[in-house]
Amino acid sequence: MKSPLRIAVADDEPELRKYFTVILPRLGHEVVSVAANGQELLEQCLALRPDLIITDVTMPQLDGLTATRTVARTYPVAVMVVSGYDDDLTLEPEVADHIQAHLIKPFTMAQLNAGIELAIQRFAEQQRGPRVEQLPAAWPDEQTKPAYCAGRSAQGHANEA
Amino acid sequence: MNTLPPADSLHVLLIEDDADTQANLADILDLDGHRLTAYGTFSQAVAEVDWQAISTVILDWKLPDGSAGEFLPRLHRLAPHAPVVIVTGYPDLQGAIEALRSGAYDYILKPVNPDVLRATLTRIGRQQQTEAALRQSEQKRQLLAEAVRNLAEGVIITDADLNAPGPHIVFVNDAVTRITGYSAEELFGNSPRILQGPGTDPKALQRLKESLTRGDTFSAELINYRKDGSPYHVEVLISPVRNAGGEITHYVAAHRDITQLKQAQEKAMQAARLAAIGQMVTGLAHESRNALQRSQACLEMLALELGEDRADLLDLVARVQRAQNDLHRLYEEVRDYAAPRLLKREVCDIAQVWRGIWTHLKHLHEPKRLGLVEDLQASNHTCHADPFAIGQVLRNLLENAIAASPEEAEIRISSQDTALERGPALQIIVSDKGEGIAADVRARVFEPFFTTKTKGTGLGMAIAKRIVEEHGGRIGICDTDGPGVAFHFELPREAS
Repeated sequence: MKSPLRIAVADDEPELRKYFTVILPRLGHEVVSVAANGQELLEQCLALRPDLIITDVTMPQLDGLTATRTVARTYPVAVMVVSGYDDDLTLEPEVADHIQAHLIKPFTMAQLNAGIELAIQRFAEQQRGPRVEQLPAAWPDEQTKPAYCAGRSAQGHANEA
Repeated sequence: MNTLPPADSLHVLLIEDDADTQANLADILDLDGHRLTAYGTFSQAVAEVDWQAISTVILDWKLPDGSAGEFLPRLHRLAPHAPVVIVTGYPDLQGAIEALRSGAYDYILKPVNPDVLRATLTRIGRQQQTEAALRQSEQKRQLLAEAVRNLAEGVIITDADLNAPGPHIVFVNDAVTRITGYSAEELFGNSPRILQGPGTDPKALQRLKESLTRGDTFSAELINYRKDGSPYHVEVLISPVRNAGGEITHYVAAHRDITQLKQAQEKAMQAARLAAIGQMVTGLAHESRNALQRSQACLEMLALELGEDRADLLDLVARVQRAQNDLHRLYEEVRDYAAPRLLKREVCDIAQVWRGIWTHLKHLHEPKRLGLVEDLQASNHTCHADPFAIGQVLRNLLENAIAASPEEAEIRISSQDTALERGPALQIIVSDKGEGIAADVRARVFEPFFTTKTKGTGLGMAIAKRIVEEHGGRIGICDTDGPGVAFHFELPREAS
């Protein structure tokens, strides 16, 4: 079993916050922080320094991209974005290049799990040295294929392919 | 004595060898304001005169170099427009009468009576004026007739009989026959009602009749019908034609075919409506993702809560999950269809694309043990295309083929070099051995939301068509007998 991660989550929808607190422990991880907006997320991450941040993009007060970018500048952290828009990350590189994975809603538990693995794997690669493009050629199982986006270099999202 | 009004100035050519007569005539002509050119012999006149300028010839019967009788035919050739007046003494009257028979206009006896000469010249002047006016008016009439005939807009002239069966067509120009498909002969004597039909607005026709009865001008947009029964949109402008007494004798109708204009307007409106719907649908599909995510999250938590021992309830959850997946897929496809698409063209190998897709669709074709057979006749499979978008086309075609195929059947992909209007193209045919598509259904396969499958949104082929057409290509169903169905599409080799 892979090593458990300390994860901070942020979503302005209570169902999603509840979901993360129920599902992530079942996937073997610890939810250290649950935020309803970017401001909360930022404060808690700076205090708790989680291994991974899973955040929505559009949230009140502070959006998820700005919050995670600020966190990523203070210490190296893996970031996965979950959002209803697949063009959120087709922004300027400086806005999104700290993101390792992008999951498009709606996603399943299996896709969430795969997305976390991808984010961690990419994060580890980036920590080791210059980024090497390494996209899996084909996901082994159609049903669990995550909707991911490798930042600027992505060809598209898997759920469109 | 002379009651005729003075004639306009004539340019008279006088050929007379007798000096007294010449001087006498010159005085009279000069007095009346005519211009005179005088010669003593015919040959001298022939050598020197500008015949175009001459409006009348006065010719002595007897000249040193011959008689007027001999000269007349030559004169007619030289100045066919100029009447010839013979001046003759009484002894030669018989000759003069003969000259009249051979085309002289008149004769005058010597010694010349000035009043007789004046009367003759005045008559000639008036006649020439009348002829010129007639020529002018005839030219004008011809110009008008040609202009109306060649007018791009239809012109119909009817008489003024408004009683049933309506006014009779007495004139149509070429545009009318072009617009309506009727020949002029078919229209003559008929009422313009021959052009009306079920789609012609009866209220407009009532207004038309009222306007014309009042003597007003009428204008409207109507739907009329061609000879072959096909409708066309026409803008008509009808005005009464009044005679000098103010009485309406005819109606003239300008008839402009605005079918293309209407179609363009409708197309523009439809495009605007579609763009608005597209925007709305895109927004809706995006917004739906958040709602679907909430529902998805709750379903998964519910399934966990229920645990393995509540199989009956888990089954219900699974059903809700499936329904939600269908809804999700529908939203995504609608969004995909509605969203504006920017092709990212690159040089790509289409064969590689379909092989990748076939691998991706393993979970669909493996359970049915289907095989993919390639029959590649094209020189190569390289196109300048968006591999992702073309992948979507091939995925839709292959998914359909897989769904239609019986177990252990073959799905065939064949390729050919071909050409479209703009240049060389690659043709791909995907065929299956399923039940095929009924002829009446074929035409509708590419319409949005048309589906014969119990699963699927019915947008797949509409999206495929859109993608192929955005590449400047074509897609269709092969016109083949036998079992199964074959879809073909042609993709330009180069982006244009």
